Amino acid sequence: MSSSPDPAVGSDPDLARRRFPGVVARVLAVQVVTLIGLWLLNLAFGTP
Amino acid sequence: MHWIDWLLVAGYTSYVVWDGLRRTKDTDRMEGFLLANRNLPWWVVGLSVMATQLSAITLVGTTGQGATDGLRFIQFYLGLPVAMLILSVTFVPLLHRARVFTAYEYLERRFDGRTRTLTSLLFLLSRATATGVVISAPAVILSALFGWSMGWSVALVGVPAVVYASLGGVQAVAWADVKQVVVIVFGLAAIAVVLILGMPDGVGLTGALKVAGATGHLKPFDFRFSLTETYTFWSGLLGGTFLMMSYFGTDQSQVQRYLAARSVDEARSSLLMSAYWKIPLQALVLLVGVLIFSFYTFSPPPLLFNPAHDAAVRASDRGGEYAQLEENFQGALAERRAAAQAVARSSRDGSGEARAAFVVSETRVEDLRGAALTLAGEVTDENPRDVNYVISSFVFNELPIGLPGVFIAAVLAAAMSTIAAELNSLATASVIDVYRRRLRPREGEGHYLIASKVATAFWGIFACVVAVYASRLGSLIEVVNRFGSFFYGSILGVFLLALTGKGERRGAFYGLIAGMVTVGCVSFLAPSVSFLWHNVIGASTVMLVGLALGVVAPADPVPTSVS
Repeated sequence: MSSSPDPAVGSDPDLARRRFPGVVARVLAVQVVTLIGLWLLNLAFGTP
Repeated sequence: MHWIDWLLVAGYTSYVVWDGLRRTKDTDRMEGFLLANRNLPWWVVGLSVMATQLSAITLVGTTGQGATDGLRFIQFYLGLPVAMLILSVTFVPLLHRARVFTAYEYLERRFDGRTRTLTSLLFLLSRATATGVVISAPAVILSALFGWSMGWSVALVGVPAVVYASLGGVQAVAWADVKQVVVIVFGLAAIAVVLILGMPDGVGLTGALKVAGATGHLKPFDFRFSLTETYTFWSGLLGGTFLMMSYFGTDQSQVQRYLAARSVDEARSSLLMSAYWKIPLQALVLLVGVLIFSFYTFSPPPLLFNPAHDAAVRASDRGGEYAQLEENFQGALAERRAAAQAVARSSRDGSGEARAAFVVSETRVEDLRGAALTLAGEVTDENPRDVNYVISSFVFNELPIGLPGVFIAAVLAAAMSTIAAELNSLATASVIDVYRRRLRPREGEGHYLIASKVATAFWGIFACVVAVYASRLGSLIEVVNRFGSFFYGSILGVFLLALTGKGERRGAFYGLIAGMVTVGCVSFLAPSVSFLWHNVIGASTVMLVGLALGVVAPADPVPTSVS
């Protein structure tokens, strides 16, 4: 598949594909940190 | 409310409408009006996606949910980031590259015209009534708070959005959404700061969290696997992923946002904004609710949060019964306050006894509130649930001058952003998929542009009329919501079938019908199954039936034709 940007859609599929694992990791990291934060909040102040 | 607050509300609403009207340039063609010439930057689209999903009822309802049920509602959103990641590599490039106006238009290219028309009509039916409910919910609250008639409240919530959406199109809607998100987040942050600073001396944030934690308000997860419990970790993660994929991937009110982005990459980035920030933002909203719960353990809350119900019960012939409940309530509150002080000041190791005493006093307060709610339901003949009035009660009784105005502006902002986007999408689907495709296929660009503006205004008036009556038809709203859940998952199934490249036109059409019938049967025969699972059931049925029909009785290939 061509790696040159498609002017009609302004995107480079290969570049997007290469970046995607990093995007997934960052999105999941933000969610995991938030959810662990809530879980720790309950652990610290919630019902033992 | 103080006149300064009213000035803030009037100023903000006028500004949003004026700014919307200012952005009517470049909307003299269909693509400009309906898709902003596919030229919006990713962050505008991203904020618009977030604003559309955050309706007024989310703002007041979710904080109320946090105050009554705690953090467990966060589980509802667990599937959202997963859905966004999947959509950003599947539906987004597919639909954006297809250069379509509506998601359903793509289905005609892939399958046939009847699948397109059916999905579009299902969208129009559900979204039009849902828009009425979106207007009705905050209008009911404004009506109860200020004693206005329902007609005036609906006009205040609905008319500004109808005006700027009709004249400015998606461009006006998206840029207005940017401002709406800023006002909403600022309003929430201001309330959070006032709550933390407003805790009694010696309690502070730590004490407030101990009090909330003692009653399980800080428990975010329920790891039980249950088909009947609505909010569990698994229903949120699995059912939520299907629901969010359906909403963000196939609902025109969302798809239209990212079709207006400059490129596939920008469309993808706009969806990922929600993937990053939705759960943290929702956690903030719920934590504000939890802090309101703690606040009201130290300051006396009203027995009924809905002021209209409170007044109605007092004025009724059962006013004496209510006065007795109120007296008992004050006693129970005093006990709870003392128990809460003990919990807030206790160390973690020695807090067992204090927590147990607090839980007992909290149960007594809740029992009395339950009795008052039952009484309100019997007197008013309306749903007495007052979770949506918790935050407004706090805002109007506890916040300094200026902040109630910001709060009302935030509620209106949340409502307008959702309404305007939904009107846009309703107009687009009705003109592109029905009017141009089925009724008047050979008209010029100018004709369809005028039709789009008229359609936006028509759906706005329709939604406002539904909103006025929706408040009196509580059970109908429930029917509408249940009806919507019949086909949400099924529509997702059709798009997934298109994505696999294996399904064919007959499989898609009959699969869609089979999916809706299956969800309908599950809904009626096993009503206790949580609606989050309906999406999984609907989508899976469409896929299975569609693929099976493709193998057993393959149809002739369909010619590619799109209006």
